[in-house]
Amino acid sequence: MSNAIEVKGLCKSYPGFALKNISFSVPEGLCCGFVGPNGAGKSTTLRILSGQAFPDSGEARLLGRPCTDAALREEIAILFDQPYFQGDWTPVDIEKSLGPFYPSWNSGRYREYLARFGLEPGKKFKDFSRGMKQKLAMAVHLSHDTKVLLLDEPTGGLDPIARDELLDIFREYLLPENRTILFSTHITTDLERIADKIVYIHDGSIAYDGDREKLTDTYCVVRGWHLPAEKRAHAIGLRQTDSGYECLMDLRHIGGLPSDTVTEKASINDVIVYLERNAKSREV
Amino acid sequence: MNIVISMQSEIPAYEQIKMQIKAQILSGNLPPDAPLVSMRQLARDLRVSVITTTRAYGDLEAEGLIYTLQGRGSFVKGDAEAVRQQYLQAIDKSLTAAVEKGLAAGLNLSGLQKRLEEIYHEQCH
Repeated sequence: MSNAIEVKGLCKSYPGFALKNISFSVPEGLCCGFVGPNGAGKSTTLRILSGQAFPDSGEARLLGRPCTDAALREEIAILFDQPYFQGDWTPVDIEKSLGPFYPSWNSGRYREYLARFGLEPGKKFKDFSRGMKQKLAMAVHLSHDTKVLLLDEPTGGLDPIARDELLDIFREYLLPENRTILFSTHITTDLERIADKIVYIHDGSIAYDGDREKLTDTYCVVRGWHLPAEKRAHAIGLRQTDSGYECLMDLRHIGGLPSDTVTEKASINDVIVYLERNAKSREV
Repeated sequence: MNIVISMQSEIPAYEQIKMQIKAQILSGNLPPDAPLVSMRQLARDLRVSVITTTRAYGDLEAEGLIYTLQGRGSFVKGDAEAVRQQYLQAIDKSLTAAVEKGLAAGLNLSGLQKRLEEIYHEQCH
C-alpha cells in the first residue's frame, strides 16, 4: 500500500507556537484521525498540506507529489470548519463557477447529491444552515474525482443529527478504494466509527501514531478507593477526590490492583483527556 | 448478508462481523460463490473503519471460507460444505469429551443437557 499522505520532518514556527519536526503518513484508502488539543498544530499541518502555508523546513507530500504542486488541486478535497463560497451564490452558481476548473466535473452527479442532501439549487449559500453548508461543500467534492479529503473540524458547531449525516457522507466518500481521509477534530467521538488510524499531536510534536484500536486497547480507565503506592507511578492523569481516584493505566500494569477496583475500556476521548492532564501536571 | 454488531460488546467489531458471516456460510444462507458485500461498503453500512472489515474478511479468507478476486470482490468458497463437515466432526469430538467428563463427575444425560443449554444461551446473548 502506498502512502497517500506523507509528512516528513515538518517544522514551522509562529510567535508563541512551533511545529517541531512532525512526521507521519497515511496509507492510501484509509481514514486517519488527527487529534490533539487546540493549538497543538493540527490546523497548521493541514494548512501546509492544503498548500495554504509553507513549512520552514521538512516536506509534505500528497499522492507522492509535493503539496505545493498546483496540479494537485484537482485531486484534493478540502473541508474546513466553514466552506468558502460567496454568500450570494446558489448551488447553481457554485457549479457554474467551480465546475469548469475540474475536468472530471460530473454535473448529473452534482444534481443527484443536491437532491439527496435536500439542498435547494436556487437558495443562496448564506441562507443555508451550517450543516447544509458543509453538505453542499461535500456535494461539490463528491461530484469530481478527488483522491484525498482533508478535514479540519468539519463537524464543529453542528447539532448531533447534522454531524451524523455529515459523517455518513464521509463514509460514502471512502467507498472507492483509492480514497484517503485526514480528519482533524477535537470531537473524538466522530472518529470512533470511521478512523483506521490515529495521529495524536501534542504541543507541536507527535505523541501517538498508529492503529486506532491499538490506542484504545493499550489503556483502560481505572477507578477505585485506594491506589496502592507501587501503582502510583503507572497512573496517568490521576485525579483524586474524597471518594476515591480515577486514572488511565496501561493494561500491562493493572494486574495486582485491589479487587474492588473498576476497570473500563478507554475511548479515544479518555486516552487523550488523561494523557493531556498528565502532561499538564508534569509541567506545573 | 445480515450483520448486526454491538459497539458495547467486549468482542471486537471485526470478530463479531467474522462470526456472523461465518454462521451464514456454514448454515448455507450464503451459498458457494455468492458474492459478499465489498469491504468498503460493509464498513460504510456498519459504520466501522475499513481496517475492521478488512481484518474480518482477511480472517475468513485465512480460514478457507471465502476467496477474493482482485478488483472484483470476495465470494463464498465452494468447499464451505467441507469446512462445515470439519466443524461437525469437531463438535462430535468435543461432545464426546464432555460426556466422558460428565460421566466421571456423576452427571446424567439431563444434567449434561442442562449445562449445554446454559452455555448455549450464554453464547447467544
